[in-house]
Amino acid sequence: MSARMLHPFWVATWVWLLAVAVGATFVPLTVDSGFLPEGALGAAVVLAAGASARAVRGSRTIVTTVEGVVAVCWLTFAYGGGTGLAGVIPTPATLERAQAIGAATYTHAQRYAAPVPDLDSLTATLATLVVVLALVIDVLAVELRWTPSLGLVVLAVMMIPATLLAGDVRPGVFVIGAAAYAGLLVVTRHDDARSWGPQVPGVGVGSADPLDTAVAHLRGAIPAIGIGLGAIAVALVVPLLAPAASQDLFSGGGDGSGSGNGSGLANPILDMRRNLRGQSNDVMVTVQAEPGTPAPRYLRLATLQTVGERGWSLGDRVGAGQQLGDDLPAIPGLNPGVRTSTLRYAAAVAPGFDSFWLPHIYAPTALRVDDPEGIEINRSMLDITRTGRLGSFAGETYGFDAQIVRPTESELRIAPASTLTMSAFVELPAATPDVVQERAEEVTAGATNDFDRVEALQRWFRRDGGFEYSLEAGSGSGMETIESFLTDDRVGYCEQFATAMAMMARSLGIPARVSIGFLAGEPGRAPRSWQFRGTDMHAWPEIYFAGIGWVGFEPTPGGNGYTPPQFAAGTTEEEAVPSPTAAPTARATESPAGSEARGDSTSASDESGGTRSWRPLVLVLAALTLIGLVVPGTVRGVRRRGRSARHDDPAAAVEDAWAEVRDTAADFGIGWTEGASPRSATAPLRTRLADDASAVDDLDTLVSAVELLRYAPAYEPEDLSAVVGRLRTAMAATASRRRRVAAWALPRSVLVPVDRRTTAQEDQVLTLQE
Amino acid sequence: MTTTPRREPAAPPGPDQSEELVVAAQRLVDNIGTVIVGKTDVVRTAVVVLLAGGHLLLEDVPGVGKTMLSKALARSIDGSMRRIQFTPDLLPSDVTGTSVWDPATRTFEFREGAVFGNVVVGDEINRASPKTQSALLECMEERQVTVDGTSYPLQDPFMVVATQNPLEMEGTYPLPEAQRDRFMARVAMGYPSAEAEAAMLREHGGSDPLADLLPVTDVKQVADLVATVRTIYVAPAVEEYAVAIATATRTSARVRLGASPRATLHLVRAARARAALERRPYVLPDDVATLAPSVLTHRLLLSPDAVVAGWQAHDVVREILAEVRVPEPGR
Repeated sequence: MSARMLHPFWVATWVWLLAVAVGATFVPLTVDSGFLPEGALGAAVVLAAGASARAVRGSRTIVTTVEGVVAVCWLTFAYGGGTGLAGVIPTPATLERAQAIGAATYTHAQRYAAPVPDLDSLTATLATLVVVLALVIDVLAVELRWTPSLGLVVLAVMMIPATLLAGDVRPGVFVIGAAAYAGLLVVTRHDDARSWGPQVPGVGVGSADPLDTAVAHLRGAIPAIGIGLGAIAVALVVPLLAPAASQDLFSGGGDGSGSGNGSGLANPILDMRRNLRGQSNDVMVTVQAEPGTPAPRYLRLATLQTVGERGWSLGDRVGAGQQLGDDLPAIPGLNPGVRTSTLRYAAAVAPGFDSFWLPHIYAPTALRVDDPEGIEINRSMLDITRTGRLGSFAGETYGFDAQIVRPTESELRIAPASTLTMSAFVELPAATPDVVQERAEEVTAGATNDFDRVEALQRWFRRDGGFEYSLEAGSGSGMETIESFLTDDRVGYCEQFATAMAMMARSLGIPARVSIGFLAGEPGRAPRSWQFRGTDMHAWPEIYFAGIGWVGFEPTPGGNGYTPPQFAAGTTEEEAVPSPTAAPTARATESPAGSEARGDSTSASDESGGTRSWRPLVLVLAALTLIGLVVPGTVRGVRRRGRSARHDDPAAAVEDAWAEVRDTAADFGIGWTEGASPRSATAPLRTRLADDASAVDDLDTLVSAVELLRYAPAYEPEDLSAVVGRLRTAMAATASRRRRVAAWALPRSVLVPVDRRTTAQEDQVLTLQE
Repeated sequence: MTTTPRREPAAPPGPDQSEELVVAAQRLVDNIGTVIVGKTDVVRTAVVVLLAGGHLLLEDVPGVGKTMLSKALARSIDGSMRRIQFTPDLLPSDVTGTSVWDPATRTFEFREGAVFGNVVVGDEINRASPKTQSALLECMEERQVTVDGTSYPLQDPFMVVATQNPLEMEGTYPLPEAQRDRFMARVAMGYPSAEAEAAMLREHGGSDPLADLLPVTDVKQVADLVATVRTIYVAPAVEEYAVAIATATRTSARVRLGASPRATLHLVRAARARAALERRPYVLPDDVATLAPSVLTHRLLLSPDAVVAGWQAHDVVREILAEVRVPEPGR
């Protein structure tokens, strides 16, 4: 296969890379990134078909049609669910299915904030996005040669996840995307260079030396590479200058390093991860206790029921909710004989905390909200949510009563084995590592009842197992993470401790679940009020004891002194008012490094909750604006310097002088007839400079030098740099101030390709010819 | 068949000499300009055609100075000038010459026709019958006359300046395509501007302007000039440009018959002459573009659709010039 036939595949590779990189920015939006390989495969198929059509010199229409048909066939094949004719040709049923997928994705996206849990429809939609992106990029960049404007498309698409994640963009993906875009620019620039690109010495008409051509291409690519690196550098450096965003881009590197501002809590475990790692200091919830009521602790948002191969999730909750009415559901498993106490709190969710889960303390027995419309309480978990369409609880003020069980240890020890209804809470995925059960049995050896077993597990995590608390450890509750957490590393944070303990309990047949919420707040400004921040987020396991219900445990080490049942502990007098030492210690459990940072921003964080969520977006926009303002001018400067520096070949220097004057004319909006002879081309400029006799002379010098070089039998080129300099000055003098600023900041010669720059009217050309 | 040897073209003159020649050409332009007021472009084109060794067709309505221009051009050169008034009854032999019986020598003797002159002014050429018109064909291209198997070379330099009225005028025979193709350029005089017309009244109101016109150059110098023009350098890019223009006339949907290869040849030759007249030893694309309308329009036959749409050959050439890109060898 010849090089000419291979070239389309080379270009397609860059297109593919760019499409995949843009698609990869959507990965943090979902729990499952399976869409990316699927989309990448589809894009590869489509692009390969297009490149093949191009290799056999298919016309633009043919190539685009081939790509479109292949894309549709591929999508039908991959996601049509067998509705297509022969699997690939779409039928009306396929269209219905596509609609259903779209609708399901929409509902899903409405229900959950990013990162969104698994859903086949979502995978299909995002994979389709990648395929369509590849198609669009290919058509724009290769067929229409609009690579520069393509940047806008890419930018717009990349803005979607950036906005949804509140700036939580992975730098790696951005760098790959930018590199792919720069590569595509270089590759398509090569195509242009064959016809109208800037000429490099030795690559004239009739010069077919491939080495020369390669050198020319390399030289031509230098500005593109420079700009690319500059833009990437600006994008990475600018956020550093903004204190609020600095850690967002750099602290994590992996997923879940966002600020947590404005992000929803539809999938609470992932958001907790983000808040903890992002060390978010924003006040998210404020709780005020009635006199005589202990400090609120273990403020719960939601409870995770199901554990899958990728970790814990909310599980299937369809039909398990009931609308908020007069009575809340009964507390599951609680027998009348158990001692309880009822506490009453008033609470407010910060405006910046876009939670779809209402913070409360287990178990809620009454809820006082202004507008109960759409609020749903889960009958099994008793966690409170509101359907996505009606908005989050951000800014909500409400009150709730919580009934706290205060069983004695003996009551717990004699609790009978769980009833069959709890079978859902002992399920473990098939892929659960053996180490979970092995360790659980090892640790609980000798214990005679469930409570002792659970306590043994808790002790093992907190003290005997040699576990270490660190936010730097790997995140998640997937099987691999848990396996390494239990065997080698033994380093993690509350998520691993809570989920590992819950899984070990389940492996022993003890019903367990994981709750997500806030551990303990710090006293607020109002009396008897407590503020809960992002760094206070926490996960803890809850164990079910028949007759008593769900009891929380605390496996996460950190010396906060909690012992089960900690819900009861909250009612004792000495802890009713948080001691000055207790709160920081408790917080240290979650964020060993966070204590100092908190103190600084306490006063400011209240108001900033609402406004901060815009900051990443504003920063991204500001950075883009900066790039938009800096890059064209820089390119222009680089071009100018490149031209004035090239004096080794006098002939090329003349052409460079010509090109420089041409570009300057374009910058100042002076007409230039592209494709006409040197005299005709400069006619509008001559008219513009008519008042300046010396400038006209300089123009004549330049024109005649170009004419001699191009059309005379022999010519001794002269140094034109001074002439060009004077002409630039003269041209600037004829332009308005606004025009001069525009020429400097947004030079037209950079933004508009040279063969589309024609502004002189046909009449002007002909007038000159006659 | 016998052939009388023709005079060989003059050797290319040296640089000093060529400067002198350019001055002479300019004098020629200025001299004609005293008669044809305000028509510098037309006069220059006429001189360009002379220097390029071509023939000129002047086409316009009666009374705008076609004959005046051709006579002025002829008079400005100190050479032989012949004038043929073409009429429907003009015979081919009137143009070329004929053999007549000389009783004294008892042989047929060749009597030269009107075509034997340095500048031959063919007035109202389209009033003659096609037969007579075609008698000019051989003369113009071959620069010789063949009568009774004997070829007689014409003068050197030799230039036919024909005038004609637009075809729609009464009593005209359209010039055959083959013959039109032999004219290097066709120019339309156009009406003079108001000032030029007033000046003409003032200066020539009472006298024959041609009577005062004196020759400013001679046959020898014109021949040298023609030789000089042949030395003008044409860059490959300019050749490409001329070819591209000619090709565009052949592929244009508005044109039924495009420019012939001879037209391309004429275009480049004329461009050389124009460059020489501007003291340039090389041809610019501007030379080609400037002369293309004069050189090409009379050779194009527009398609019926274009004619119905009101297009004229001149518009088509303008369109082509606007579309064809000038090759830039440096890029």
